[in-house]
Amino acid sequence: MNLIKTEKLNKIYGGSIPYHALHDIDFEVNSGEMIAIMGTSGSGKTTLMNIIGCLDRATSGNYFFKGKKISDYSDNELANIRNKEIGFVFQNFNLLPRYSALKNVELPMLYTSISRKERERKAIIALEKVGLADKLKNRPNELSGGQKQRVAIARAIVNNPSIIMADEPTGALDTKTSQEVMKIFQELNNEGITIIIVTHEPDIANYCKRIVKMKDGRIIDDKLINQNLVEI
Amino acid sequence: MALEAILINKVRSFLTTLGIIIGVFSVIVMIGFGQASQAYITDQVKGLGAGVLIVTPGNPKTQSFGPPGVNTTKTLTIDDAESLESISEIRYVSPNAFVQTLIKNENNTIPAIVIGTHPNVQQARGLNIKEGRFFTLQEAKSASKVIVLGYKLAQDLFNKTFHNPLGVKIKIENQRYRVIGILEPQGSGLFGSVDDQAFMPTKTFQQGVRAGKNLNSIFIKVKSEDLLSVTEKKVISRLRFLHKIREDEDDDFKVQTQAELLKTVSVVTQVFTFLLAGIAAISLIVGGIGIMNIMLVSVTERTREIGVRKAVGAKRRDILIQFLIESSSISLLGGSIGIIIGLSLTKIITKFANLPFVISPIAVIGAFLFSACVGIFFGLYPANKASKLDPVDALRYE
Ligand SMILES: Nc1ncnc2c1ncn2[C@@H]1O[C@H](COP(=O)(O)OP(=O)(O)OP(=O)(O)O)[C@@H](O)[C@H]1O
Ligand SMILES: [Mg+2]
Repeated sequence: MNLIKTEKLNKIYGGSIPYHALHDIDFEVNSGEMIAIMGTSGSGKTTLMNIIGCLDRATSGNYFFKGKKISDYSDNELANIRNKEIGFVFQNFNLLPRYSALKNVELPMLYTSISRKERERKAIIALEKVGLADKLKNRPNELSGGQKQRVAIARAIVNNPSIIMADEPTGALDTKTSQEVMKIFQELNNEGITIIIVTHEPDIANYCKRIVKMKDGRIIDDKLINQNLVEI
Repeated sequence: MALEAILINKVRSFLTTLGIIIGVFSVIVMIGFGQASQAYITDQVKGLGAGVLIVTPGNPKTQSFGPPGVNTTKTLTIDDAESLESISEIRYVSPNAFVQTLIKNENNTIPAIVIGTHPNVQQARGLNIKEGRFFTLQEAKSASKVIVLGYKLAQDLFNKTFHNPLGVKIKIENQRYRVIGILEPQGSGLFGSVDDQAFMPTKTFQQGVRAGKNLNSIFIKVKSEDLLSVTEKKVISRLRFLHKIREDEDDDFKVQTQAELLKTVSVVTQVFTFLLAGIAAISLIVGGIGIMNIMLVSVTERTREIGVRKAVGAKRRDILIQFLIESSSISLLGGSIGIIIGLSLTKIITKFANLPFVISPIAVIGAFLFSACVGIFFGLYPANKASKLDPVDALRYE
């Protein structure tokens, strides 16, 4: 069964001049995939990510997540899916500036029934996984860009989601740091987490197994690459 | 985590709580002070003892609120008082008259209130003797020219250095009276400051200080409390008879029991207390508006944070509760500080004003709950605004 399946998704932004940002998107994602979404600025990548990430709703069309028709879900049900199934990584990190790395990683668990001790234990494991065991107490302004993004990744994986959605995760990082971050994504993918990454950079896209190209709100290309990597 | 947000913005949170601190603090002080005064006045009235009737001149229907004895209508006389003594249920009758006059001793002339009264008043009003004694029933009956002085009055008359004023004769209206006692300092009370008053038998008073038969009030001590209403009826019919009041005419005097007097007094002080507390409550509301203001700023500042929280799974309710906890914590913190400062200040004021210190649990709990409500009420709008933010918009917010 597909992890994600969309049927004729359309997104029309309201406002004084309505803007048709997505046209009849049919898109499928299987468990274990690592996908790069590419395309020119304004082609609708973020719009698509927000909808399949349950942050936003399509104007029309159907969206199935793990076989369930999500497009009919209430706001609270969508919040639940974001909490349990999806991990987000953003270009600008979006860490809470006044909290330590540990507290930032604990954040998704605040909206579950996990106990305080267990929250802390899980957050430490997640931070160890991204190699930040020694920065638990640091606040975001005491971390480098790469470290911040690794905290954000730890936050994304702490609730054991099925999928990670990263919108230009390396957009604010230099080449070397970008490569480190992508290696982490690859490791997570090898452990079975599905990953979708929006990126402009072909080098980054090359870490993935499938590249989807968008233009003017449509998917214009969808191909598999690096099939040998799957074997590793 | 809501509490951490408050701690992180220490200065701002403190400034925000200030409004609540001042509000709660003034509520506590106002109520504390009002209740202290009431407790004091109540004590004074209770000091008269249960089973007391107070007769004052004047028609009750045309008479205004106020302590007994301030009426100018002269319808109560010593003859009335003497006649009442024959009612069998009555233990004793204290005819009271007073006048503001000058008391002279050698070169000192001091204005004072001279009261003509019954010797039992000493006990009824809790007048403790510092030196000498109070006048006796015999002295009252024989209209002896004796006088008991309030503490401050004695000090003024005899200069502070004079050590043995007992036996000295002082002058009022060209008559001489022998000082037989000095009272302990008492502080001010329902009937004015005892420290500036002088006491003598009613007969003595009416022969020299203010000639004539008029009285300002009659205190009646009944033999036992359960005889109170019977006695009250008898007193009323006796006085109506003595004053030749026709069936269809109203009384020209007023009889109150101690309980009625207490009620009158507490109504007056309660109105006073509520008025003060009401004014103080307004400052609480102003404090609440301050909280709302700062919470709105906080919501705007933390739009991104709200977006992130929603992205990782926070529901509307979670955000709403977070901001409500924040706003009510600020106001509860302010409330607690206000209560502590308020109680301390009340304690200090009552100590200096010689009033009893009463902590009213209702006022304290009320102020606490009210400040929580202020926090929730004024936090509701900002919190609701925060919870309604769309996650995509909030994340994009610069
Ligand atoms: N809230 C909105 N209201 C109106 N128009 C919007 C809104 N969000 C996006 N758009 C428009 O939709 C189109 C697609 O935007 P989107 O953010 O998905 O592009 P993108 O592919 O992510 O671009 P970039 O690579 O620059 O991030 C753009 O033309 C944008 O102007
Ligand atoms: Mg984008």
